[in-house]
Amino acid sequence: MKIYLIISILLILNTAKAQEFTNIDTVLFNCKYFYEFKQDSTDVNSVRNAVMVLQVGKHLAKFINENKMFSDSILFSHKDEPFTQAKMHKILPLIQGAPTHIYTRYRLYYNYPKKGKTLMSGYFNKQQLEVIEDNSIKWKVEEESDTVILGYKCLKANTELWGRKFEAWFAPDIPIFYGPYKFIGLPGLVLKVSDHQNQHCFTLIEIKKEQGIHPIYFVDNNYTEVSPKDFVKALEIYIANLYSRVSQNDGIVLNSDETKARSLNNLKSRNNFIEKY
Amino acid sequence: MKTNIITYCILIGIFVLMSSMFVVGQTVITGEVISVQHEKLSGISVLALPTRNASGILTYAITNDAGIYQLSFKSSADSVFVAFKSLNFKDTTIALLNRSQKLDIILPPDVFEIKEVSVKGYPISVRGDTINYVVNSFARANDRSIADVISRMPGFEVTELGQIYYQGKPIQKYYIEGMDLLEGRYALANNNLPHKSVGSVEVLQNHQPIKMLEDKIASDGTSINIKLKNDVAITGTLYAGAGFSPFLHDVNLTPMLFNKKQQIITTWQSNNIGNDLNTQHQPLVFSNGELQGYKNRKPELLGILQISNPQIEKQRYLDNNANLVSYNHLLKIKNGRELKINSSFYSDKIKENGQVATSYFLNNDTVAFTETTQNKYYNKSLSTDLIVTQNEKSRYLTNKFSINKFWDSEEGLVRNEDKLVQKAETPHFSLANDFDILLPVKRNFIRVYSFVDYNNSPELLSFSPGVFEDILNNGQPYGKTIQNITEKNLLTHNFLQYTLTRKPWIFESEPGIRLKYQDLQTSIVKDLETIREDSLRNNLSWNFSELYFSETIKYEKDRIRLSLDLPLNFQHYGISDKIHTTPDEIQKWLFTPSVSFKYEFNGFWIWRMGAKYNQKLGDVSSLEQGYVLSSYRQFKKGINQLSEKKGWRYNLGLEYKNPISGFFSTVSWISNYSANNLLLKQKVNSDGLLFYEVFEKENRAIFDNLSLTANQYLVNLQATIDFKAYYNRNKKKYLLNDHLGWLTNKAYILHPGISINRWRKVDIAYSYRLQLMRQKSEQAEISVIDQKHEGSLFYTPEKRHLLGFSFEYYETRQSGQKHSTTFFANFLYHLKPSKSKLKYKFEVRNIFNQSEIISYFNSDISLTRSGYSIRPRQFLVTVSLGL
Repeated sequence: MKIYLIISILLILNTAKAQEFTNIDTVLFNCKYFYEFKQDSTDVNSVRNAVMVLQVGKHLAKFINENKMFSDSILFSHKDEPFTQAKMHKILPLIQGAPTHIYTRYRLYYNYPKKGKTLMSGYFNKQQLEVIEDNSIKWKVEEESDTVILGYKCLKANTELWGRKFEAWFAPDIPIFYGPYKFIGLPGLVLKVSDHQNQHCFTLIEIKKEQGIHPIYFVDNNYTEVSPKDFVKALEIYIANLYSRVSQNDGIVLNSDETKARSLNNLKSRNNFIEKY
Repeated sequence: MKTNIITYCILIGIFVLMSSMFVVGQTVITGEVISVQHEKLSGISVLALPTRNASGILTYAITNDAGIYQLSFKSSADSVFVAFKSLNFKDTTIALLNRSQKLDIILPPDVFEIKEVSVKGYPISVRGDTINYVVNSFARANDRSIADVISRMPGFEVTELGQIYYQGKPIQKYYIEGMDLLEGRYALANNNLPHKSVGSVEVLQNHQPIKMLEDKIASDGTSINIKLKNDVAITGTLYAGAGFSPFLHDVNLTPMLFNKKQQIITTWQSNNIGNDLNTQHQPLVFSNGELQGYKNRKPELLGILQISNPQIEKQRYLDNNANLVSYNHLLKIKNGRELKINSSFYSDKIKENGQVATSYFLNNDTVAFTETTQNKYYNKSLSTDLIVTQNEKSRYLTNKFSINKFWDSEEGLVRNEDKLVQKAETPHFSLANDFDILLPVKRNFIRVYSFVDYNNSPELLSFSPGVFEDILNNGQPYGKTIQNITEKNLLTHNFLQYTLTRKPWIFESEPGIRLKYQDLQTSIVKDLETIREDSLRNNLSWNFSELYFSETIKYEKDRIRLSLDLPLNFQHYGISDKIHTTPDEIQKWLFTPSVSFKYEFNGFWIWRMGAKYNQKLGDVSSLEQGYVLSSYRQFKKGINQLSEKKGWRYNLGLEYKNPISGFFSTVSWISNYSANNLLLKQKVNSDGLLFYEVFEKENRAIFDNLSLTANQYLVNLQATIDFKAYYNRNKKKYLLNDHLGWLTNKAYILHPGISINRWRKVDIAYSYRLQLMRQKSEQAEISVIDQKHEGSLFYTPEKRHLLGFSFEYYETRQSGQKHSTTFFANFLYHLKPSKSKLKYKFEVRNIFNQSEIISYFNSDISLTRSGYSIRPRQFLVTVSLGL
């Protein structure tokens, strides 16, 4: 929709400019997850999807939308060049070509900034935000349940978080104690997680060993630290503001009433972030 | 004492042992994990597993920094397995009796060999920098065009016009089978290409359209490529709508052909429902990834007196009858070369009716008159672009040759006390060539750009009966006056660009040259006889050359951004005036530096400021020393020198944003001081005739603007309220009937609004706008108040149906006059049956059948009240079908 016009090039320029990249580890394993979620809790047809990547390093791990990872790596590779128009011309199309649904526009770091902590960062309404939490999910492993996913024997564990019940399948034979989103701390890689209503579902689609050469970087943006609740609130306000600008023809003029109604509907239907409070 | 404690401990120990033997009790196994080198190993997974059941797990632990683990579980089994798993040490499993104990272990190194897996055949696949979306996986039963399907793919958004946004930004290149047929007009294909012809959509993420720059530099856009199912495809779309009254039609027919060697898309569109087709005819300009709007290919020199357009949606008043035919053909030739033709023909007949009342405020007097105007515009134009591109690893070059021809004419009937017919013919012809080549220089590139343009506009404006009798015909009435203007020019612009970077400094250099040859002739014809008097004609030509060097220096570090622009221009004018005395040569150095600064503090505030010095020389038209009739009321002439405008501009802004409380606000101030060496001398006589002249007098103008915006999201209401306020002040000198004075314009605008998104199927928005305009001159004080209420309501009971109602209520009032109001309302019903190829739309426009809209417009010395006829109530039914 045209509504995104307001996220102008200038804005990208500003965010891209402020970024500082720190090399915090190197990639030992790359795990890809297919993330399917209903952006509208009341509409079964509102399924959206994204490919998410879990980069596992020696001491920590990072979880990010594949396209966002791609655009980050482009920014990273150009980080030593000063910010010129020429550089922008080089980088911009590459960044633009990175579709990230608003619900996957975060970066997650496990065991960072220190062991036992999880850091999530995001950018909403021109503001860089971060949430730092303890990674201590209370899992209940079911004793008698097993299944095979991608050739790995998996066990099931349950937890309750953010107003949802989740079940996760992990592989004790893969000694990587991470998983998608904030689902970590099980004795084996999490291959699949979904909530009981099947509104958010992560499924492993690829696992690859890497050479430990590619860096895992932390993208520092002078974040303002907020609580997990406020992070979700900022996301909701971001969507509400877009809605308001479309409905009042404020800077976003749609060519017909029909288009306007449809884009309003589309915006309004984004009401189902994985964390609900 | 000591023995007592020991006894105590032994007793407890026995008790613990006993309890674990007789009850299904808690088993606690702790221990330390170390490497062969005696390093404490952290992050090792320790699992307690049952021995009998192969699946299942009793408990687990992960060793801490000291290599310590603790497992506690309940099990009635005799024995358990304890397994140690990690990435860098050997998987080790030990069988133990099921009792609490200490188990230390030394793990030998071993590399965990993972069994790599990858799931194939899911709808989105990534190959390097290309993401491939399989169309079938995203298509739904009622999708028709590829645009419908693309809009459902993650990351994509598609507008109703078919333009694609990817991750919120417009894509730049839209290839079909690797060929860029339509360039900026790709929406034509996207909206009309049935998805059944398409196999997949590729997103070229790391794509550089210029092959020579691949892996080095990218241009400013993302590209997508449409892969067709078949090598040859013939396809297209059709929709038709009809309504009344009078009879309304809206038709679009778009057939297409694609194969490996060539692609053709043609379209025919026709409507009289107020959809402006000219927007599709004019090229859309994209620059820096942003839509810059439509580029006008023709200058406006003469024209009949128009009724000022009201400030409402164009569709409400545009009375058109438009046709558009376009032909686009791309042919692949050898060595990466492509030949392309984009040609379009547009014709339109636009009617415009209204009542215009104008008052001129003179020193002791007000001259007022009222007219009824009926105008017709006949537009016809053909534009053709021929493009050759060579896009190879070793070379990039593109050359675009354009021909534009306009056959436009206008005709108007003005009724006041008498009748007057005004006619204008404004043809235009232009040839242009755009050349762009890239050359590698070390790791950077030099861009060489050259543009050449030839324009010819022989225009005329006629009035019958003849006007300005006092001057042109000794006060006697006569038959007809014709004003002729012929302007020809040839211009070229060439530059080089180079960038040098030394962090945190950046230097950008652009040397360039502009040349322009211009020829201007004007004359007045009275009853078929050209008037020979020098004061009524012009014949001048000039050679303009400009050499410039523009240097930009930037400093960017942390939260500070500083930029300094230092453009230096040398301009030279060689002038030849065959009738009037004008200096032969004028030359001037211009230096227009500017500085801007931005600072961000504590994450919530941004502070910006800037200053710019402007200096600008005027155009050739200001040298017209012979009078030109610009309308049946206006006589105009210039002076023997160029206008020169210079001055400072300052800006200051503060921005606050708090994304958690949902409050956003900005305050900004802009101030502009300018000085001009020439002043317009305005003379109005008692008949309301205007004489404009220019004379030399240094004069100043001040412009101030203050604006405030604020925006708050209300969590409980799920509503956003926003508020905008503006204040403008414009103060300048003016000269009317030899009386010099100050003119002050002030405008105040308040604009609050609310939108509510709490309901699932209903969308409501409302806004109010109040505008107060005050003008104060020596002769008059005017104030006009405009108010506007605007709202919309959409109801979507389910996806197939959409009901919409929108309204706008205007009220305008000039001080001392009674107010006038207009109330517009539109109704819309849209139906898209789920298993049909057809879509239906029913609309009622202007439900309350309002016939005109009143607006006020002011110039320095006058106020105009115009009543513009708008489209009456109309009913429209549209059916769309994909071929």
